[in-house]
Amino acid sequence: MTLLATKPLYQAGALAVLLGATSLSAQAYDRIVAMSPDVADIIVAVGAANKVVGKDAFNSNPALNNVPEVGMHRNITAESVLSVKPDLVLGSHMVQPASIYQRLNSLKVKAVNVAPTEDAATFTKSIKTVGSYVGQTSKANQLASRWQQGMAPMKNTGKRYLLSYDGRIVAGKGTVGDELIRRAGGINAANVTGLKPLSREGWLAAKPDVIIIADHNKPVIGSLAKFRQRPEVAVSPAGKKGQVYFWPADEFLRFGLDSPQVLKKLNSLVQ
Amino acid sequence: MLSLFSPFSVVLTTPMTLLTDRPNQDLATFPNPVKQDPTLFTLDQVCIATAHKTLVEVSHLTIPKQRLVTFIGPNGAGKSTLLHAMLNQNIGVGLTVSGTITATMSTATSPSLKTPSEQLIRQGKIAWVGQHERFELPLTVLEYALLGVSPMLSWYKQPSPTHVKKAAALLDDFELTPLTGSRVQTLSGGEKQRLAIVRALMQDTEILMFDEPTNHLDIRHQRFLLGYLQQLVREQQKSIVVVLHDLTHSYRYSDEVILMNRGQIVAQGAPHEVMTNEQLSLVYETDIQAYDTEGGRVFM
Amino acid sequence: MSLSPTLSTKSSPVTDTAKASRYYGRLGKYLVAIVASLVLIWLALGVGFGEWSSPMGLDETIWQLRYPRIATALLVGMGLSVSGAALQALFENPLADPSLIGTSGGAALGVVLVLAFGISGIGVPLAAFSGSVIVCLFILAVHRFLGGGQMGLLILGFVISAFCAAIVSLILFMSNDMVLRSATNWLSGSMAEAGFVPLRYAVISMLAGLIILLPLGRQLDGLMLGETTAMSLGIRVGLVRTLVVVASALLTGAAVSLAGVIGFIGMMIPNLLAIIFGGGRMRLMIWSGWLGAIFLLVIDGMARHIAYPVDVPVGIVLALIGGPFFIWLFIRGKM
Repeated sequence: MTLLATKPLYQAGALAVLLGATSLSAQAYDRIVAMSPDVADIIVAVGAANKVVGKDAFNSNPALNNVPEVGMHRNITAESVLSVKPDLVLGSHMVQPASIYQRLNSLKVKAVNVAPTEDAATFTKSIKTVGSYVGQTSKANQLASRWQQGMAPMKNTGKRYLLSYDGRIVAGKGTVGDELIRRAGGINAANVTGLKPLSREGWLAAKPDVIIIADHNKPVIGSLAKFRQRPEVAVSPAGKKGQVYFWPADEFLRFGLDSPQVLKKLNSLVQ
Repeated sequence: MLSLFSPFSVVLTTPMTLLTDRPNQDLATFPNPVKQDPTLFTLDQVCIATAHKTLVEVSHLTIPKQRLVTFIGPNGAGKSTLLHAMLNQNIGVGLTVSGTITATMSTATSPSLKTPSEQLIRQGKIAWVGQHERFELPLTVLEYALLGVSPMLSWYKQPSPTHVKKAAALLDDFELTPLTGSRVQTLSGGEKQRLAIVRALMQDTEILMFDEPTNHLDIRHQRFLLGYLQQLVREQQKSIVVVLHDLTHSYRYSDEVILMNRGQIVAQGAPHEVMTNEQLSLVYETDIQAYDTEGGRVFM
Repeated sequence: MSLSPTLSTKSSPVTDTAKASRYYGRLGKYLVAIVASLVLIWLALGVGFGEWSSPMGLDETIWQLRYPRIATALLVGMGLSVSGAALQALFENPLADPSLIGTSGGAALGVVLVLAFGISGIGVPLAAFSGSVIVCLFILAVHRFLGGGQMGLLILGFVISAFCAAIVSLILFMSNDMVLRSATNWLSGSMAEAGFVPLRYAVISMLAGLIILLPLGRQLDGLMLGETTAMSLGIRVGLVRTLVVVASALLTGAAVSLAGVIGFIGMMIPNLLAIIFGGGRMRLMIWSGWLGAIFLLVIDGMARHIAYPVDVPVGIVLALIGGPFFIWLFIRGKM
């Protein structure tokens, strides 16, 4: 009777071990393509850089220097991604066209949009998701909670910020820039929703204390001095105090691992 | 001279066919004897061809001044083509024109100055009405007619009241007065044709050339126009060259007829000489008989 | 029955009152136009911040922002409309738009090339203008080389315009440089850049264009009668065509350098005036210039007021109006 009782137990136990083992090995992806730079940075940060076999052309992460480029995240094709024979393709909302995930999955290659929306909570979650795929769950969780803590809203400064792409288009309500400003304790001076071009009178009425512009647009705008000569900028508090800066667009127009540092930078500008 | 003007090739012509030498000048009908060189256009060895076929071949042709000269012949005889060549206009791409076409103009210093005929039109000495005049302009009938005086006006000047009066009078002659303020785009085919003629008359040139000006006109207006042109020749010594389809009218109103067929000049001379039953039946490839009625000779 | 034609000199009702009414009518029209323009400029200067305030008490800064925009709207509207009026006569096509003869294509190409070489600032609008003129001249040269003909000019303009646009797309697509992407922003037709480029260059270019173009009005009318007839009126067809295209490029190139590629207005305004008022081409060009300037001023003013503080590219608004206008014109032509 004891023999009969233990056999199914053994079988169940064996099955459990077997299942556990397969699921563990199913999670061990070794050939990963990072379609967008924000995800690529996460993969590197959790220590899985060696598993990356393809990256986005705009990626500047030094740990991925030797990794081949498989296209631009703004316009990526399945063929180029598949050329490096990945077993997992990761990306965020940055990847265009959004249908690439479905297409890759239909071609039997697992593709996951780890951050489909642009908000802090999603970014935190994406760190954990990436960690689970590369078998670095604990490291990822640590990273995520550190990031989350770093993004904690700072004390209200009451200062007005304008985050602009090119001196015209600004980050209005509901954008990443907007969230960064608020968490840095500031007020978004852009009275629009989304990324919209602000008229010059709108710039005048915004009365920003700080203006940040994407630095790759410097050639179009001219020098900083030239920009500050614009009448609407010259009379603004930012213009008068010289608080106009060129920053890399990645820092303030999307979330990234260094967003907590960006918060501190934004905050320190007005201290 | 034509060949100098554009990258045309020189093509030698074949020997000419039937051609009378000089037009018959019936001096009895003209009160003013012609003093100067009576030739308006002289065509020598003219050949107009496409890459595939020859359209017109004329070894020698002279067109007299101060006469109403009509070109007749079946469709495709080359009448329009020849007329256009006299103005040095290609009516299509891929046409080569060789030979010389000169015009004889009298100036104060030289009574018979020969120049390439294409210069005449550029000097504004020829008024032209083609088969397909354009009317897609936002102008009234009066404004359109007044375009004829534009060569005489500086760019900032408007037509003078004299011009307007003359235009109004001509419009009246051609029964267009009720339409004076209407847009030309709203006119019927016949009205447009009459308007084009008014425009040409407003240019007040010595030479007028019309390509089938009676196509859209009813018989009353046809007769009026041709009678009018005849009067212009007689009273104002103008030189008028017209392409006509209607044989009866051609016989009645022309001073000289040039019969063309298959790109060649078949005959040239006074109407009664050229427009014989045999000649016409041969050229038009159908039986044509002339009947004399009390209204004049009729061709059927 | 025979009609005896008489070269009559009887006076007609047309001539009696013609002279007097022409004079007063013209004077009255000019006065109305001038007064209307001043009123609208006044109103446009007051529009801003989502409300209207009298332009008299304007802050210096606000003045610095507004008057270039007003001036740009007037210049661009005028330049494109006069150019459109001339081109519609030249191509005998009511749908002809200044962008057809290669001006926008050339401007876009100029801008993109210049940005690719890292030039910025004044170089960008200068490149737009140069690109316009160079491509236009190129089209003219090819056209003459191929033997002339009015239809050929239109088709050549289409083809080369499209070719320029293709090259622009190619360069933008291949560019890793985000700067080039912002070129598309600049070229999408908006008055937002008003005030960044000194107006004087555009004004000089447009003046030159007008000086060449307006005296050609009557010859353009003659040109619309057909080549042979035009020649018989003493018009030098080839020369007139060349001058019109060059002048058009001067006007349109200047407009593009100020505000990017703005379509429809060059097509709509002259057509509207031709249909309603008609008349000789010189008068049409002058009134098109006036109406175009006022029209763009009003449209931009309304867009500024309604969308404040967002800056709506005026090209979008024009396209919304232009589309139905296009269709109306088409239907009208059929009927």
